[in-house]
Amino acid sequence: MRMPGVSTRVAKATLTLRSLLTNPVTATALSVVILLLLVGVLAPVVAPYGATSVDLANRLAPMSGSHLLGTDEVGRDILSRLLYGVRISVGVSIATVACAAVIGMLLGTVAGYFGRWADTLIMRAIDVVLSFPSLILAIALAAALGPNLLNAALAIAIVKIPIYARLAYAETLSTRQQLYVRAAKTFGVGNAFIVRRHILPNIRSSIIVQTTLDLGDVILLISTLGFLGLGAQPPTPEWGAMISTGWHYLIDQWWYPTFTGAAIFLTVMSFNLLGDGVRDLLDPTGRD
Amino acid sequence: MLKVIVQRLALLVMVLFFVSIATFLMARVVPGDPAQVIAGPHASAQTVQAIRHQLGLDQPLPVQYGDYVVSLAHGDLGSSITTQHPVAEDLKTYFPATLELVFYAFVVALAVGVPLGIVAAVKRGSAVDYVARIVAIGGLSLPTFWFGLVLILVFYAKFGVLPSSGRLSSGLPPPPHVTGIYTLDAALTGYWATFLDCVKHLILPVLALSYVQLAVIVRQLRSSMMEVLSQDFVRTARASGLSTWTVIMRFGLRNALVPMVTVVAVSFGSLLGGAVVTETVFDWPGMGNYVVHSIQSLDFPAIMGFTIVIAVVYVLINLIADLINLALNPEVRYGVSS
Amino acid sequence: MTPEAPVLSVDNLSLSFRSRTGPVAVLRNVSIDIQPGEIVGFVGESGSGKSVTALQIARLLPEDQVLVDSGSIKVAGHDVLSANAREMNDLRGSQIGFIFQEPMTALSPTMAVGTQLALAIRRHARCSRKEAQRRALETLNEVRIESADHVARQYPFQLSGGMCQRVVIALAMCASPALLIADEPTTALDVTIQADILNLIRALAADAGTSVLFVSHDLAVVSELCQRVFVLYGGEMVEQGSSHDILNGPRHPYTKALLAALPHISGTKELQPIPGEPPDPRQAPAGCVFLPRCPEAFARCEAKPPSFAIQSAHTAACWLNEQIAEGPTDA
Repeated sequence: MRMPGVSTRVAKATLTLRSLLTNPVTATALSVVILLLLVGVLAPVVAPYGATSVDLANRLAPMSGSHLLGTDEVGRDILSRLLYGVRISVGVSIATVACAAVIGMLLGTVAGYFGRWADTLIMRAIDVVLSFPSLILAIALAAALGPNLLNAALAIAIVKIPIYARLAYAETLSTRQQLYVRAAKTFGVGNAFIVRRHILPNIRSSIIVQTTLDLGDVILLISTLGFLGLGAQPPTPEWGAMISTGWHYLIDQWWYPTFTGAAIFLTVMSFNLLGDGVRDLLDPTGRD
Repeated sequence: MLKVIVQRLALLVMVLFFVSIATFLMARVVPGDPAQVIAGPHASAQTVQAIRHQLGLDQPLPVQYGDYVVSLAHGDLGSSITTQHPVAEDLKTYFPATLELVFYAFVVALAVGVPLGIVAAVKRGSAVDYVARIVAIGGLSLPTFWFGLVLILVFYAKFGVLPSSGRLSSGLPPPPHVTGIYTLDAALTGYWATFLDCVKHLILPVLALSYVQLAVIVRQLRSSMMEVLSQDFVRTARASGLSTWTVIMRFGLRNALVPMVTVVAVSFGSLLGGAVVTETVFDWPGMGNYVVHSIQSLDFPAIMGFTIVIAVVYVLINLIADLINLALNPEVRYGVSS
Repeated sequence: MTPEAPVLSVDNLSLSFRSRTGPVAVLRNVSIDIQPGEIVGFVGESGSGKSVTALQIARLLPEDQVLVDSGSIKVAGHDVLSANAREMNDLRGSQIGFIFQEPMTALSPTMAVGTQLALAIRRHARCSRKEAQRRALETLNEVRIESADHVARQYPFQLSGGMCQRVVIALAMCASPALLIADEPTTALDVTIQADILNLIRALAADAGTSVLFVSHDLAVVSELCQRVFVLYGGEMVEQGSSHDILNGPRHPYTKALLAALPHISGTKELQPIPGEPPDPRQAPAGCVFLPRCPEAFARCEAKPPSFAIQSAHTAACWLNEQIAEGPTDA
């Protein structure tokens, strides 16, 4: 009974992976993302210096053979900090999106399934969250919770929950109506089983597309909060935090904030291009 | 139609309720006793108690919350810890600068984004289409603050053609106050040299701020238009011999507008959020800059006051978008038949 | 224009579509002619290329995907294929009117139908907006819509399929074109409405002296409405003649099969569908295009048959006619 289910799932995964590679843009994006993940894991191996190795004699050194991207205001190697920063940006982003997706889907399913006051309470709360521009709400929450990376991630997760909640909610509502679910319930099938078997598979594509796109957006939010002083605090090599000090040196040591920002830009772009490619495959609504 | 307005306003009430509770609780949760802080370390217990009474801090919590809501309703957003002014007053002072920036950014996003999106859809596969797609992808991935920094680097540091901060060159007085929007005031009072200086100072921040929304508009409009232009009714319109312009505008764009309006309204969020970072990078004396300074000094009344104002603005914008949608979509107006 | 000049003259038209695997031929050497005042039927299965032909006459196919391999199209003396965008726009509406298959999606959902009609009228008549609105109401009356005033202010979603189709007909006829192309105008409508629409088309064409190219897969409808019929299969013209000749004396096995496949109202005969599948346009056959499904195929069919003239106006592209015919013709 299990085997056919497993093989179709594997077949689908292979289909997606292989077809991702057919589009050159998506393939490039995928390679960059994989590269980033590798760098994140292997940072201690790949980085020429430590992320926090201070060297005051060598402050704000220009790009050179020994420091490919120069040094920052306390002499730390910028390139190394960028490489270590991958861990923070990508790692925290993955964790945040995962939490937001899981909690969001849980909330949406509960709201749609049990109805009445659960529905009203949860979905109105979702509406309230969505009435704020994402960055502004994230700023307010992060400020209220206290400026550190964990709180920033929490704030961002809260901002990202609504869309998953709404996805799960809509699907739950429509599935609940369907005859076979009602039939299953009369047989005494448990709620959790229904959710797993009937609701989750239908929204799988939307969730995959949404999470991939959100990964990029969350990296942007983390770095923006970091730039404003609300995310990771120094000496953590978070890219936004690096720019929050680095931008004061924009004129004379332009490479410092410029390359750091470029790292953010390229990373987010890769995730976005990958997300687009995934979406084109899973949900082709005639986009080209 | 009324239903839509009522729904949005109900939402606004809920938002305000939520934010007010959050603000209220947060102020009470902050460690330290405000009365003690005001009284100073050497004050006697009686003095502290007296101050506490004066601040109303000895009342039960629900009563305190009630007082708080009442003062909120009167537009009292508390006092800023850093400036010692009422937050509402501070925000009023800085509001015009932000309004000016956001307004021009929106205009640029529309003025560039709409034509670009249309042309990209009509001339698929052309150079314009390529540019449009690059712009669109870039916009979603670009950190606004970094874009601002790069613009400063290029146009101020390298080429020295545009200023890097502020609304006016130092030494130049602002135009006579009419609205607080310098370009408008300068134009209304005829101070043309000031007007030009204002414009020069606006170019880079507006460029940095508008880009994200521009990208969203291009992306959405291109996709909408492509879908609409492939519909049957466009073919019928062409079969009637109508000119290409009429077909694109009155059959293409007109039908692509409905999803557009919602998307533009939602993207206003990125405009408002982006204003915070743009004002920081360009040292623009607006509400965004104000809130960032408030963050640094943990000035909660100011932060919360700002959040409330932005939430109200955002809900109103979405309400306007809903109303525009209503006007644009006959199916909603007349009710869908069968 | 001499009195004898045909309203429509499609001469040896061959079309291909661009595809990822290279150009795919969808029409091969198709020729049609329509005289002034004629109603001509164009019959074939879905995928036979009949809609493609019809759309190409009005150049309504996406230009970046269509390749004209050979041939010409002339409407009322104007060369369609070499016309530039502006000339083509002038032709559409004033010389060529088009009725589409799906009436419900054929009109803009955000424009009142009267407004759309008035736009088309103003385009070709250079009159004021008020005058155009007045004429729009007149045209709605002509397509037998009562309370034209009320209907003109409706949006398409508020109208039935039949009503929408009448509006589409009004749009097509409002500038009195020389040629009306009707591409399966009744296929998406209820059977009860179909007769009304067909009668309307016939009446309007007769009144205005408009020639009609009636495209359909339904040979019964076509033979009832049309004076002459062209039969298309797999992108090629297999038979043409007067409806009388086609109905009573078909000379191509495909036409015979089509007639046999018509359900009879009396219901005594079994339905006789044509066995097999329509040909894949990606594999252009060397021989007769109907060979794989033809019950009367023989050795000669391996080579492509030319069009044989059975009588002066009746031709069929089938080797069976080689002996009977007066000799092969070119068209």
